[in-house]
Amino acid sequence: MSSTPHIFKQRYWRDPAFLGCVIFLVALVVAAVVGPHLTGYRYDQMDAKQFQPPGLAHWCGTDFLGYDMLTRILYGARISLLVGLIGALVSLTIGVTYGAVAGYIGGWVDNLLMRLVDILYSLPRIVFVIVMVAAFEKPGTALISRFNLNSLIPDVRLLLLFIGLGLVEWLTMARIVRGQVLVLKEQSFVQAARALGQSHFRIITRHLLPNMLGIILIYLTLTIPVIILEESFLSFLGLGVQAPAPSWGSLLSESAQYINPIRIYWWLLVFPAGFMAATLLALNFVGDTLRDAFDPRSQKK
Amino acid sequence: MIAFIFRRLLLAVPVLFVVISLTFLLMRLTPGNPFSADRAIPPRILAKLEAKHQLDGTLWQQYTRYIRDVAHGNLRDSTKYFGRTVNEILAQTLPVSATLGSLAFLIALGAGIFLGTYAAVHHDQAQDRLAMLTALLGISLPSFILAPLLILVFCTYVPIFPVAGWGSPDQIILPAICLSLPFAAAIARLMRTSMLEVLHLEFVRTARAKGLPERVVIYRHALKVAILPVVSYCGPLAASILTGSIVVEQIFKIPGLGPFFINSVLNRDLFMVGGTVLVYSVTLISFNIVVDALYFLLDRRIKLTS
Repeated sequence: MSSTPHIFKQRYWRDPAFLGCVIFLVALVVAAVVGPHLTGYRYDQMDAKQFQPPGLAHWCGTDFLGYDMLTRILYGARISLLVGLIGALVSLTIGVTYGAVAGYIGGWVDNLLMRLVDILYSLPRIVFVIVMVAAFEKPGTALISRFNLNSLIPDVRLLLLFIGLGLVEWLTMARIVRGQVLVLKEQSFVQAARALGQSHFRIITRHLLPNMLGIILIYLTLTIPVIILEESFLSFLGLGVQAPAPSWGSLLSESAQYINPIRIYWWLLVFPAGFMAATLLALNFVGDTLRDAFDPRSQKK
Repeated sequence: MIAFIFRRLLLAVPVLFVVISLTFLLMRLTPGNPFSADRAIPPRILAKLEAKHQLDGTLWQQYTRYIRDVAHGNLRDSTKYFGRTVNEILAQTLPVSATLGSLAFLIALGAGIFLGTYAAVHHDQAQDRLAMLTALLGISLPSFILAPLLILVFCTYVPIFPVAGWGSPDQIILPAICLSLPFAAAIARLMRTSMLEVLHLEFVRTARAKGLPERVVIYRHALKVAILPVVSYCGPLAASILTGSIVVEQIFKIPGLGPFFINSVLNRDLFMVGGTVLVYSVTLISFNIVVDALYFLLDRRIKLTS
């Protein structure tokens, strides 16, 4: 494994496609953070003219309410990336803990826990997230206003999405981590740590987890596009981020309502779809490349 | 084999029990009532409505009565669509969703297996790169991006398909394509990797040495082994198509289960949500059992012959 980073440097940093994807993602993050302040419009600021085609004043045109599309797309990028990252971190925490416990204890506990993962795999998990978001919206709002955090109320859905999507997307991570722990725990350095009388918690956190960091990070990059996709899916159905705050999914769903054969507002669809597809493409490509480079099991000769 | 299926079916019962209990309790325990989303209902009318839908008494009584009804196959009346039972709505919408879903499933499998095999056969050539680039693009174009774009192209610029609706054959093509393409791409990637591995095995060399035509070697011999990872992907595939159908049905205004589910969740239509979640879960669980049995059969045949 020690030479892998070196090979990685030689092979992938010179690959223009990989480099291009990384540069695109970095640019997107920067644009999502500072972009909405630079376009000269607010995401909920109406211009006098609706349905303006792309031009100098509005680079991506304006939508049915006269909102500037570029501002809304960049703001949507902010929300999508945020949900993707935080959701992936929630799923990472659950998956790593669950997988490490199952693999480390082993025996019937492992059997039971992994059987549960199999069962969850075969259930319609997004359907549960939909029910959960709808059920907890009001209690969530009540909870937030009790703590006098009223400015957060429009973000209740967002918080529910972080938790809900993280809660259903940890299964793959748990399986990977468990497999790794099963292999690592038999190795001599772990047995040495055990012989020294170190606690189980310390063995897991100090010896096992650092050795799996690479693989955990790779599957983190692969989880982010999945969660971004699911967030947009829910926002498309009207169960995600609430208007007027835009998300890529809700932008697409709003625009889809204005498709008609008489007046074609192509910019309403093409720009959000293009941004989202490019982001997913870049994330998938980077994740795939990293996995092929660092995960020995998926390496093909 | 029969014992295996029996064991899985037996395990499905407690799983479904937990699913339906969680859905009911979650919807019932959180604030909001199943009869009206925004207006407050006068207490006397509310009491009558609750009695009619057997939602009176303690939560435990409501819950046990509901579970007993579900166990007898009675999914109760919708609390929002007055006078209609959930069973009735499901019987109307499920066939529509099932048609769309199975067509998309077949397209995804067929296109994915073909594209993946094609790429593997032309390994490291231009065809391979092009096929894999298409596949990578495909997995990054989920159906809710693809659908509006395809509608824009094929219903406004080049009007060859109807925008929406259900009933005639040309109305099913575009939704089925939108629903299946991202998964065809995923299968193609899986198929290519697996086929590349299999093409190096000895039995393929033997088949070639016998002088069999390349087409027979690949599609009759190698494919049988290489298809295994695709078979085990069928479970997650069914789940994704099921989820995807919710949004595709919404976009193309198809009267399937999806739009009913979303509306009933937003309306807090308690029994409708319970019934839909149950149907979705039963579909996926039984599908997974079939897939696992199939995998078991295929796998055993390989062990016996190699």
